[in-house]
Amino acid sequence: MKLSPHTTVRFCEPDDADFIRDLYYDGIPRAALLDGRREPMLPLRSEILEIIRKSEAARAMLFTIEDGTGILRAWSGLRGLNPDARFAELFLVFADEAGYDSLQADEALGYLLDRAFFQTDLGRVLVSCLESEKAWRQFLLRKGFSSCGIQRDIMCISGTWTGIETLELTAETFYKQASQDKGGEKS
Amino acid sequence: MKKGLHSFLRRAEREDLDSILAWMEDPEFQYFLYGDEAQSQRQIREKIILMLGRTPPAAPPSAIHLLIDSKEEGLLGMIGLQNISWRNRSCSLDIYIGARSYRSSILPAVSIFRALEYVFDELNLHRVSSLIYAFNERSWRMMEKSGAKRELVLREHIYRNKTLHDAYGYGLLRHEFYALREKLGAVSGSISLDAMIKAMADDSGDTK
Repeated sequence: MKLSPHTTVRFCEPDDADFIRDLYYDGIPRAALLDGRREPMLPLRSEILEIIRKSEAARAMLFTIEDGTGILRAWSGLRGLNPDARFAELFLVFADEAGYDSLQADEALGYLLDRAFFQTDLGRVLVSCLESEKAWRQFLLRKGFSSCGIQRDIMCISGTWTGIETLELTAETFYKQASQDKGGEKS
Repeated sequence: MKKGLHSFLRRAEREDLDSILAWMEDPEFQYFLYGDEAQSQRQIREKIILMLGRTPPAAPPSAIHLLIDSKEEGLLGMIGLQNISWRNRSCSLDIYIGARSYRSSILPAVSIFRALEYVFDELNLHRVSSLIYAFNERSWRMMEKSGAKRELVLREHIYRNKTLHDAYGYGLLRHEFYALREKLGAVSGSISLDAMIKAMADDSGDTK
């Protein structure tokens, strides 16, 4: 789906596996790419293909973000969907940290939130963020996310303990912001 | 002697399966812990079998299940150390007391204290986490008494009895537990793992 001349978002395809694998291998710690024990993973291409293939059954929606020239910029999605408690984990991983200051980030997040709250009727989305992911965290705060707290010393990076923060955006906040934006557009 | 003080922790064996299965059938087990109401007995059984026997002997385990046992009354409960990360030296902890009459005794506190000694002194871990539902006040108060800090508040995170409830994420770091143990002084000595091992040795000496 073409969101603008700068951004296209589409479901992940097998051809994206190399791009996604590179995100795991580039040495930049990202909370979204850790396993359940908060350990870094080095998945094989075949394992990534398996994740993409099984994403629907695993209650996940995975998307790839392209720029206007068709270059892959980010991997994103909603996963861990809990239909009873109506929440899911949202992630958006740019290959380049500067991506969080781009129009693509705004548009991709807007699309994910639209998917979460309008189409899937969730009550909230949760995001994990390492203390080192400053650009990602700032971006989330700008978008109205608020902190649920920090799990201290949960991961060791290069011999130093670091925490993981969980942030949330509720449907209520999202709708409030959406109506304010509309009001702003009209005036 | 206080009820529950004369208990000990040990690894779970395959022979414990029936007792653990009986606990898991208890609606309160599913209500307070991670069970899903929709699971069939067969699914629960398969889950437990997997849980007890999933790690090859030579590999560092990703989970350790400790049973709370007593000579007089048999199995009383279970402590799960799960998601063990040997890289990050962390794990999550949950406790279930199957014997209802022991739930408000000293048993849960003593068992958690011993499990924490095992985690920090023996496994050499750095951090213990616990996700506890807000309505399980007895459990989160006990974690707070163990020195754990409430780090996360996840609002409307768990669906039980047609209502959404909050969940709390607790974290306890090694130095915080050691500070608490020091503060407890002689009391901690009487309920420690060392005291438990000594009592077990004395018991087995009596029976020889």
